[in-house]
Amino acid sequence: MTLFRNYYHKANDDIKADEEFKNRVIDSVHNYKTPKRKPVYKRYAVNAAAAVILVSAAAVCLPFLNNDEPDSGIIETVNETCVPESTPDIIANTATPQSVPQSTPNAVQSNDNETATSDIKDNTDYNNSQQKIIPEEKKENTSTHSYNYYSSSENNSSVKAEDENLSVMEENEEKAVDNKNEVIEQTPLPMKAFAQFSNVLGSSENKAESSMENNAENSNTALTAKVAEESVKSESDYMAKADISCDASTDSKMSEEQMYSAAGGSAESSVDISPPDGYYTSSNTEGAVTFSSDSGSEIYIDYYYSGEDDTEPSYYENEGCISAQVTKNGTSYSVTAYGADTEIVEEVVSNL
Amino acid sequence: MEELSPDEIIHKYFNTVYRLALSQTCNVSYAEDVTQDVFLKYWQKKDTLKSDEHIKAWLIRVTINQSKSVFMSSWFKKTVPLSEEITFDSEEKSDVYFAVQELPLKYRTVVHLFYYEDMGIKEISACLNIKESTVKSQLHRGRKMLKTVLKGGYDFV
Repeated sequence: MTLFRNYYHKANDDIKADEEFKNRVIDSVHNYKTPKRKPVYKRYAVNAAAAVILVSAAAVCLPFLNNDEPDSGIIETVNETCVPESTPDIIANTATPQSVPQSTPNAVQSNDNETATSDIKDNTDYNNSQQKIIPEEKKENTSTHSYNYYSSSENNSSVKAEDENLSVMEENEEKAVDNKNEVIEQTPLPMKAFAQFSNVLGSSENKAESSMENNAENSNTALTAKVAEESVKSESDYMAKADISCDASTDSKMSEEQMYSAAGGSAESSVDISPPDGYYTSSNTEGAVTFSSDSGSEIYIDYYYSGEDDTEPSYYENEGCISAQVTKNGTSYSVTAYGADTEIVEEVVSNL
Repeated sequence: MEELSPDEIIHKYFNTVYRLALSQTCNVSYAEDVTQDVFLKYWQKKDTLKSDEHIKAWLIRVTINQSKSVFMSSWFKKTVPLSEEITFDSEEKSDVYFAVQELPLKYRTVVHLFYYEDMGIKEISACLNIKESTVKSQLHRGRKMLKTVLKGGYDFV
């Protein structure tokens, strides 16, 4: 057996490199010079500079890219609930026609529509400061103002309806305030009573107009817008022409005083009404007279020039409260007595 | 043992490096380039290499690695067959040499180191940085392939 190792060994021994190639390699080795390499920082200086520029550019531009649109600020939405300047419209709608005395002494002046109704008792908690709201959006029920006053009775069903209307009004107002951001400037009211009325305002123009139409049909003393504009000159006049509701609670009595205490000057001057026997004049302002007695009973008389024809007095009696309404010589009188007899009230009415 | 100068070491191991490079690349031109590169690297590292055995192992390892870099080049495909450049005086030598050249590279390397450089299994595994069992398996498979190619009954001892 021949060994593979021997033949492979001999074969490789026959393979030899040329001497010339060997000398050439040795010479190249001797002449070999180590190439000068640039320092590390020089080699990567360009790359490092580019990286720094990119990072700085990203840091500068990143806030602008991620920045959302800033808030546009507080959106001033105003719920216009009361515009004193628009008192003519208000006055035009305020006067509710009085019920026919013949048919229902306990008639309650009410608006069929769900307009703003004023219940003095409910307005006592109103904030006295007037809120001057910058209008931005007009609600349906805030462009004009209309409300109806009524001489109500607790037992009257229309009172309940009006109470419901009032509650609806309050809910609408609350929703309007919650849904919108309002810029409210509070200015002191010259009259506390006006603040109470402004709380109730909030019906639409249509409702005001319909209420006017309905009131005109039901009462002889319904005011028209034209008459209201002629007669009213200030906010106090507007206050004076409103009817007040009869309420057995003492708070309502006080609120009535507050409401009518600041009745402004109008074309008519204060009416001299003589008090009945046993009573003395405790307050006599333009549009309102108050008789008081030593026994604690009080008689409130509110009057305003309506321009209507004379009417027969209509009486309404509730627990401890007697009210009467009459129109004489174009002036509408509303008499409310607490703790007084019917005869006293009749005497007062006759003295008008 | 006297220490040899770098030039003497080059003369001593020049053919060893050239033959191993030729066995790896199967091309004379590439083998010359590999040889030159190996000794250039040696000249740069000559101060770190001290013992003779260390130098030989280092040269073999560098030659194999440098040959691999040549394989990565696309120009390696355009080569002249080794049979046209190398001739032997006997037929057995030619058959044995070119039979080894036909082996795969990893078998060819192990066979060359074992049968020509007379290196042991441990030396080959240390030089190639592979396990001894791997060296044994590659050597066994190489022999098996040579027995198939070489007909005549060679003893692979």
